Amino acid sequence: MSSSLTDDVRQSAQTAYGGVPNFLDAMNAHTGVPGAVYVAADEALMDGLLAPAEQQAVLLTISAHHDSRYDSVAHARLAMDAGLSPAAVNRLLAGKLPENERLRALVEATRQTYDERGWLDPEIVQNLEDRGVGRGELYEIFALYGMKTFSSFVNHIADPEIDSSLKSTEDALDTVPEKPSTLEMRRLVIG
Amino acid sequence: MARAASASTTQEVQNSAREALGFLPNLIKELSEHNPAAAKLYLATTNLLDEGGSLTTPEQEVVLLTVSRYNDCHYCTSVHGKMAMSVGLDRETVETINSGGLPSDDRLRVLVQATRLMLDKRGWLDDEDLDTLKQKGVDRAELYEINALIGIKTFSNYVNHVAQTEIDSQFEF
Repeated sequence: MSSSLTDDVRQSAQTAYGGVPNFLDAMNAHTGVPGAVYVAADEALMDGLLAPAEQQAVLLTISAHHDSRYDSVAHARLAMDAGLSPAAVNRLLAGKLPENERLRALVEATRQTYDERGWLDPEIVQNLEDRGVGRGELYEIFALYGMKTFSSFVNHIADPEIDSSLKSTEDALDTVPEKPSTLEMRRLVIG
Repeated sequence: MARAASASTTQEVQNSAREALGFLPNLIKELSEHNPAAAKLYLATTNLLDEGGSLTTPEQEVVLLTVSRYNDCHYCTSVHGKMAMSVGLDRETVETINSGGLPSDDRLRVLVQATRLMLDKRGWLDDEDLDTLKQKGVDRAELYEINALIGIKTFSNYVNHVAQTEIDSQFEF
């Protein structure tokens, strides 16, 4: 499918990422709106409260939580480009907490977000604030969680090939998530 | 190191919300006061939904309502209940979705089912799911748009959980 919207998405991706990721092309083949949403979200959060390395640590945590191979490899590369060491990236993909205290607090906040489905009680919110993760940072984590849930769900269905520019990154990682052998249903289907 | 929210950016985002919606919804106020970039993300992505994809505006509202009900968001179920009625859906359809049921309209029914299935299976729809939905008129385009809506709404639902956002009088259902 080609339209002015998909053309805009491809142009924005080319400018922002230096190429069009297979994930965006997979969506653009069917509809332009989701790709435009993803690019707009990414652009807005460039002015976020979290530093690029902090955002990538959160995104990598969420990608691993969703068992998304494509997202994990992409954010592993972006995390290293933003300054995280390969060891720190491998720790996150293995489900371990970062050694750096600031990143540790952000990753714990991210895990609490999805474990509690956003229902963080005032005690948790206060505890995070005491550790430097205030309401603003928390809302940014929620935004990142929303957008990464969106892309992970698309990638579960589309199963795009890892971009050629990322294959060496994938090969160098200790662990890359795969589709789980059993799916845990969060709720019974209603109706 | 965290960066600080700038007061001028907060004001800019609030002004653009007022221009687009005619007033400043409490959700945007809450978001912009703490993180203007996150508020900007919400406004920018929701504006894009008007670009016209495979889902019509009433269909988008049905999906947004389904996600909000799934996440038990008091604010968004009211907002999207009101918005759904403003684009032509009847009260019975809204109340049915908000009580966990399925609309009587075939197209809306399958969109609600697809959205719940996506959430329940955390996106891992298998070939049988995809074939069944395709036979009922929900193809990849609709599914990818549903995923974008799930992402946007999960973000705002979680903000409202923490903020316990007061429902605006304009959005009371």
